[in-house]
Amino acid sequence: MSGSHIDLRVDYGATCVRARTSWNTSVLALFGPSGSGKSTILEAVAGLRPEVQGTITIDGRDFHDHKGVSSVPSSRRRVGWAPQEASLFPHLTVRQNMLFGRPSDGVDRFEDVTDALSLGPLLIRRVEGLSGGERQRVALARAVLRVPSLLLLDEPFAPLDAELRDRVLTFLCSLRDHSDMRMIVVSHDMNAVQALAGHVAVLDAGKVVIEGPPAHVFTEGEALSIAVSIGAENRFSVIVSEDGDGRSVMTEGGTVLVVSDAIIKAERRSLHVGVRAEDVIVAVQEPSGLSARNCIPGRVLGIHVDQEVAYVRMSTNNDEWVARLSMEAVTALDLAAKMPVWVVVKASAIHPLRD
Amino acid sequence: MMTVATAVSIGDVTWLTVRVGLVSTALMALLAIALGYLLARRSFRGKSLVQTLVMLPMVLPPVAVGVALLLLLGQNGVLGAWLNESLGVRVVFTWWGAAIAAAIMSFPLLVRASEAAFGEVPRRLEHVASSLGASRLRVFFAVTLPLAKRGVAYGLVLAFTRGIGEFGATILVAGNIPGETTTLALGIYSSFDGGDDATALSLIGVSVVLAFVSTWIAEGWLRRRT
Repeated sequence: MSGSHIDLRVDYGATCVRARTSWNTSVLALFGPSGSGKSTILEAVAGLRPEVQGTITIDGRDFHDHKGVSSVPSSRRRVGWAPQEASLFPHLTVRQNMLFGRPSDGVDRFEDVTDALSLGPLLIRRVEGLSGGERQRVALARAVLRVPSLLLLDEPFAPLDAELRDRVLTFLCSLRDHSDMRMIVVSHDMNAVQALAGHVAVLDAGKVVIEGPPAHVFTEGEALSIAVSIGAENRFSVIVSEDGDGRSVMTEGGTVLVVSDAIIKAERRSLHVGVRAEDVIVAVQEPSGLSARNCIPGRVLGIHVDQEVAYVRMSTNNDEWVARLSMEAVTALDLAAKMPVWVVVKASAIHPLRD
Repeated sequence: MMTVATAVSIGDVTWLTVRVGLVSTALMALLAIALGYLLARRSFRGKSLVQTLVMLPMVLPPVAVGVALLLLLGQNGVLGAWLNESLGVRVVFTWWGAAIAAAIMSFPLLVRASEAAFGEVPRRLEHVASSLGASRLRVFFAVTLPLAKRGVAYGLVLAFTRGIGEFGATILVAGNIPGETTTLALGIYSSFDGGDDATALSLIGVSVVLAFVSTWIAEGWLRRRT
């Protein structure tokens, strides 16, 4: 396996992505908060950012040299790009979408991919009625059937339920292990990234702030703190509560949270904790019989839609939360501003942050 | 008094009008759609100048366009003289002249409709197609054009309806020769002018039906699924 290297700069509007990373593994994962430049890097690698400067070398192949004089056109990079919003062709059926990029001399893996991603029942459907998860799987299948040398996957797990997420993860791990395809995966899903990627680059404000094997980035204390600090949309200053079973903390806003032992064992009276927006569950009725330890009554402050993902802002006591939901979930729950809700968070989803 | 009704049948006038409308649309369709695509998808110096020039036939008095065409295509005109001498083709005072006049007058409609239609196609989809290995040509024919086709088809029908209703430029370039260049618009004018109100009203009725059907089709296209 030849080495891969990215050292690029992309300026668009007031934003600048300046990322540099090298890796020698099949799969690179880009991790970081929304707006940190992850998707921009994917687009630059796909050849869709003409303003890119710098070098892009993937598995020994030069896609873009320093001066841009030998930039390979997008259509010749042999990449399979599955954007976050799927971007399916609305005038084609699911089957036609999947086959769009398939090379005429390519090995026919249509049946395998269709089965692996549970797309059989959808093949003759038009794409306009598909759910977010279905669209994402079709986009993934379309990218894979292109038989690319490099798969570029933007949040492939985000709109999927747990079962499908596991199925897609298994499929991608199988591709990694049994094909020559390389992958760059953008994902907020730490567990999936750990299972799939050999190298993780954590981005913040367009720059790589920490990188390395997932075992280092996601499990070692300091690195984990950095990664979660950067990725956590919900951050609170808390003090360890004297009440309850000794596993509680209280936020400055007055919300009591049950946390994991690791936080309590830090032996500090006050600290900062973070929760990923995707780890926050929203209920419109008071849930019962839950394994999650935190179920806090609150109210919806507002809903911001970014492509097919909704960010729901909520208040509990004097704290503010944001949950990352699919549009289907927002529609199904009929969420609206000022609506009473319950914010549900597992204790293990509350991570300590670096100061 | 000799009127259209006595010279030729309403059916002949209608057929000639439809033929002029179809030929005029066909004459300029390729150029107008290509220009619409260019204006929607490319940035270049002088783009606003091109857009303004394209719109001129819409905003100028049709008679002025007719005079310009007559000067260009007439027997002593730059292009007309060449056509006559080299190919033995005469354009003015033929139904081809009517078709050319109608094409010029309806050109802006198709350009603008195409520009709007192509402009509404998400570039993201073109990018995806390109990343999937599609050449520029395939991106255009497999993604851009199919997604813009409703708007382009709407523009084609609008151009056709504009063409069949053309009067000012047509009467100068093609004249009003019964059976040869008299279209519905010219027929209505000459019948009414000649006091043959019944024929004028019949031709108006045909015009209304043609315009209604064309617009109905165009609106139906816009309402259809992609």
